[in-house]
Amino acid sequence: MNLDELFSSASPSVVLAIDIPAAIADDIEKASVYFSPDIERLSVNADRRGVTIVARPGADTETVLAKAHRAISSMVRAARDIPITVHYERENGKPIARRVNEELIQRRWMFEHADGQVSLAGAALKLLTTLDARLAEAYRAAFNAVDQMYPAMVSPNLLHRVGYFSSHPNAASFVCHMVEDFDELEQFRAANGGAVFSAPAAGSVTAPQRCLNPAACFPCYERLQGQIIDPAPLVLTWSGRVFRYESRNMRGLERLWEFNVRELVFIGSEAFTLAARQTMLKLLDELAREWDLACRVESATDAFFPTVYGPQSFWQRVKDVKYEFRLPIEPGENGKERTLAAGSINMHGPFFGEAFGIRLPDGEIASTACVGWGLERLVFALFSQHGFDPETWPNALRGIFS
Amino acid sequence: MAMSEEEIYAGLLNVFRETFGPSVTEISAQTTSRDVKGWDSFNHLNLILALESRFQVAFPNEFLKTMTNVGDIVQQIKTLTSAAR
Repeated sequence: MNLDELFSSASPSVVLAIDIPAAIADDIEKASVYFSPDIERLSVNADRRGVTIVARPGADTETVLAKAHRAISSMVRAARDIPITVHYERENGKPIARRVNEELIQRRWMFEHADGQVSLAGAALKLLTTLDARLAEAYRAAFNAVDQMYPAMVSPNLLHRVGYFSSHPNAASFVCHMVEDFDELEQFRAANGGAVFSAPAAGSVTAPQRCLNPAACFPCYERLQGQIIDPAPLVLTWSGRVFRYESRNMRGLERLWEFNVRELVFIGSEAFTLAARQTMLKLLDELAREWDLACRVESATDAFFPTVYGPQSFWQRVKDVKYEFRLPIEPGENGKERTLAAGSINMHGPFFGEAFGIRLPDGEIASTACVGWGLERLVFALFSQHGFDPETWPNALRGIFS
Repeated sequence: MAMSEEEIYAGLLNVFRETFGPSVTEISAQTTSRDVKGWDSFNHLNLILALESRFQVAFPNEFLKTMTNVGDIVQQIKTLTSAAR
């Protein structure tokens, strides 16, 4: 290969000049995986006067720059620096373990099937089921929560109704099936008689019939549609399978496409949901002590799609409707300290009550709120904080090693 | 001289109609987001930006976090415009 060939096959790097507010620099880097398939990597420059984009070899850099500019401009527009409020903080003074994913894989407690999909075994699985059972038990005791079960697939209409496609189109996962046509089915069957998988032709599969549920609580509002909650309030809990497509951001147990969530939903008056949030913070403190968990609860926003990022995250910040449970984990490649959002409390106000006609006995629209724990992330954070020696684990969790 | 409440309400109604449409015919101190069709999480920022532009003020973060109704907005605009003059 001569020098010209080498140069043309290298990934071109370009700089897009645009001022980036400090508060949204991380969010821009995270969202950049959805800007263009021709972007290999995007990073905000140290002076925040622009971003550096590494494009894939052969990419049309003008097109890439234009897409990145449109997306980033949307995110930057009207970005306001609203300080983050810390609602709870606990430290455990322990050193953070490194290479936790690799260690879990080496011990055969974790297996990566594909990007964003893992299976667990051994102590990692035991920890996940122990945490889930403990949370369920705590929710029953503290809130009189009633057990539920919901399917992993939801109707696209449900997601449309709750505005999911408007706010997170990038994270949706669709399910389709083969058309009910003998010839198409036979062609697909015959094509897969060999050693290599052959994908069905575009016309052989239906338009999306279902979606994989991207937020544990959605199906419960559909189930309560048109109902009067009597007696009120009502508190529900379940363990649900959740799916969020995260593109190149998927990594180990930290960021999965498919994961388990222990969910808790409050349905009642607005005053009830606000009081429930306070009770949840007290319960979190109890659990953090029991699990010797370093944890910080702070105001947060969802990872909205760039074009709605500004208005939606502004609303979440000023209304303080989202609290995230952030747990310290191993530092990033640049040595920067990191925390992982393993759970959150989300105040919905009357949004779902109005959308699904859910009322209280006095005729008022019900307010709702939910608490979700990403169980794989909680498992990852606990191994990060307590390591792999059973002696360094708190008594309440040491049994996972037996 | 600070703006009168009447002037502020007249300006507010214009901004509300521009932001949420002509169906907004009246607002009062007690009006909240629940009372105005379209005053949702997406349009809240548009309203704030339009108000800041119309009244030439910058709402402080603390106010943005605590405001609950139109009466709060009127009082804040009154305070900010009187301080600026």
